[in-house]
Amino acid sequence: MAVQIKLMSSDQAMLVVDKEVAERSVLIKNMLDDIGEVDEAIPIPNVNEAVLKKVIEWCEHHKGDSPSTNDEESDSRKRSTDIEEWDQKFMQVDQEMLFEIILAANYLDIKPLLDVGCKTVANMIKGKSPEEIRKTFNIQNDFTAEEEEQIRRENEWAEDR
Amino acid sequence: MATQSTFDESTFRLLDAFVALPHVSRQKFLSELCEHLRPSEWWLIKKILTDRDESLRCDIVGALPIEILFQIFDYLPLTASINLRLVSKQWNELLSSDTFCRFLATKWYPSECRHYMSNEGQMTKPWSWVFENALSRYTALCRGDFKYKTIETPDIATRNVCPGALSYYDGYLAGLDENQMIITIADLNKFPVTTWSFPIPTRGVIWSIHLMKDYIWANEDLDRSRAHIMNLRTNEWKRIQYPNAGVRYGHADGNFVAHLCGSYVYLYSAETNTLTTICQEGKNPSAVDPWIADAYEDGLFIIVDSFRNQIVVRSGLQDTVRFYSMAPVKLIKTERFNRFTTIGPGTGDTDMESGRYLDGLDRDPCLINTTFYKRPGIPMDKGGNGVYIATYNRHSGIIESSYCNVLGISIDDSINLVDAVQLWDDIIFFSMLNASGPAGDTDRLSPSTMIATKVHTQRIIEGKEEPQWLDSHLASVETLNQCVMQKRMSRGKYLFWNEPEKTFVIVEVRGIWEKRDDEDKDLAEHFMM
Repeated sequence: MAVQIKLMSSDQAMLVVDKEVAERSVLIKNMLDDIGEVDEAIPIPNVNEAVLKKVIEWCEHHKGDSPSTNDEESDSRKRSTDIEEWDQKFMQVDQEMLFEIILAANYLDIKPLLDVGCKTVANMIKGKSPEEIRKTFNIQNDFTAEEEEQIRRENEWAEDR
Repeated sequence: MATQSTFDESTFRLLDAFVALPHVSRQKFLSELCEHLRPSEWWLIKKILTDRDESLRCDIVGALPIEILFQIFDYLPLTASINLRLVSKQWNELLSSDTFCRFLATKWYPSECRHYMSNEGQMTKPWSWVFENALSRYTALCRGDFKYKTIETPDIATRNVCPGALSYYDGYLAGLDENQMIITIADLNKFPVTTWSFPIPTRGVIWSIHLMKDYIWANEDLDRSRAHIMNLRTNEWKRIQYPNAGVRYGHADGNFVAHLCGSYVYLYSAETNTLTTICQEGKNPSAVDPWIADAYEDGLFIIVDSFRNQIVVRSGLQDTVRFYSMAPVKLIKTERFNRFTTIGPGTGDTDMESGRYLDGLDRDPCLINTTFYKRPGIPMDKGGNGVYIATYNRHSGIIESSYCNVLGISIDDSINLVDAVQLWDDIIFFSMLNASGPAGDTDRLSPSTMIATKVHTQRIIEGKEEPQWLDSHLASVETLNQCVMQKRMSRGKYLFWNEPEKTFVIVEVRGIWEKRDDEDKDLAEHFMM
């Protein structure tokens, strides 16, 4: 049987997961490497139960993935925002959850999940006008008409033509 | 008010008790509660949820830590960081902040950043200035939004298409007269252009010249082992004797000049007046035929051998020699693409598979080689033909290969790639010659065309690569006809030699901040749109 470990969320919920699954998180992996076998639950103080469950769900599905592909690719101009189907469905959550998942992936150091999160947000932004962005993220336009006009004029060189 | 009046003491107590419950119990309580709800109450919940939907959306972008925002913007076009400043004050502040602009500028425009950095490592311009200026110059270039000026230089009259008779260094252009015995140097830094001429102390005809930092170098045509070098400060000439007469096309930078001769490379340092012979280490010299070499200020040089299966990079500072296999290139040419004949001027070797060796190493990655390719059975708009490009990254030591889809122009046997120059990190100006003339059925390609195109750089990993095709942008300089030399003069200024007209054309692209800072100076005086 697979070795299991316990995780304690910020709201004191105990979650039992396979070690292999939990080790998708570099933070947890390093912690386990440092302290060895433990019976006690590992506290994850920055992530609440609902988010932690979601993150574990992602780790379960991706436990067989090969370790992250080379980093050089991120430097090239190839910045595709394609997301595989399962991940796309996984990311169909409300924005607060998406926000929490990104923060958790960052904190737990799960790079591929962080990438998926960033791509999801990038896709929400991509190709949208400032007005559409405001709608998407429920942002108040707090510029005066003059301010808005001035910024528009200064930056019109970058507008898509 | 009406609803509140129906609240009695016990209701409040119930609410307080619920609020005090631990998270898990609250959820349990709620699911239990749902069992007891009446249909009208469900409707109420539904209404509340709809009203709330709006507020469930939040400005996650504004709330995320900046290092995560960097990653998100990595997936967006660079112009998004400008256009989205209109969203709100917070976004505007964030996207124009020094931290944000610094991140984008150092990532995408490292050479610009170096330019605006003092020796002490301080920026001489704000980061937003550097980033916006660089990006706006780039977008202007993509749109063909540049000015150009044609300048006549009657003293420089190259014969035929011979780039060896022209040389450019840091704002100065040197050329030979039509008898190939007198050198004329033109100072292109200010208008009107001033020129001065001087003869070379030999009765022999000169084949190629190199303008260097403090010297001018001339190589005789009949006996190519004889070269002459003049110190531009003292006007003193010196004769250099090469050990071998088979000297071929070379390249100069700083006060170094590199030439190929058989399987050797001669590296001449004008300052120390020493000639170093370099042979490709660990290789049987006769098996390798260097095709073209390049030398740079710190003694770094590159050799591309004529079989195109190897690039050799030697760093003069570190005194190391690195060999790069060009195997992926070879694979593509022999197995995937049909070969195209292209003629690189100055090589005279029509059997070469490739265009000529290209631009300087002052850009990262820099362009080192171009080749036409055609993939059978693949339509033009899917990347069926174009230019294959190799670039070298001086810092990482990586040679990258990329493909450039040439604007829906169908490349056929009548088209030759004359020259290419890297105008911007991923924009390359190509000049092409269409031998079949305007009547040819080649789309949108006049007898000679200058094309600026955006290139997608991608590392080729053997066996797995499937290049992605990007739309290219077209900006052609109509007045150019049969351009044989292109040089990047300074940031945003480019020089083209128009062979049949014996004129040079200076193309200028300015960034938004350069334009704004210069608003009072009337550029129209010198440049026409």
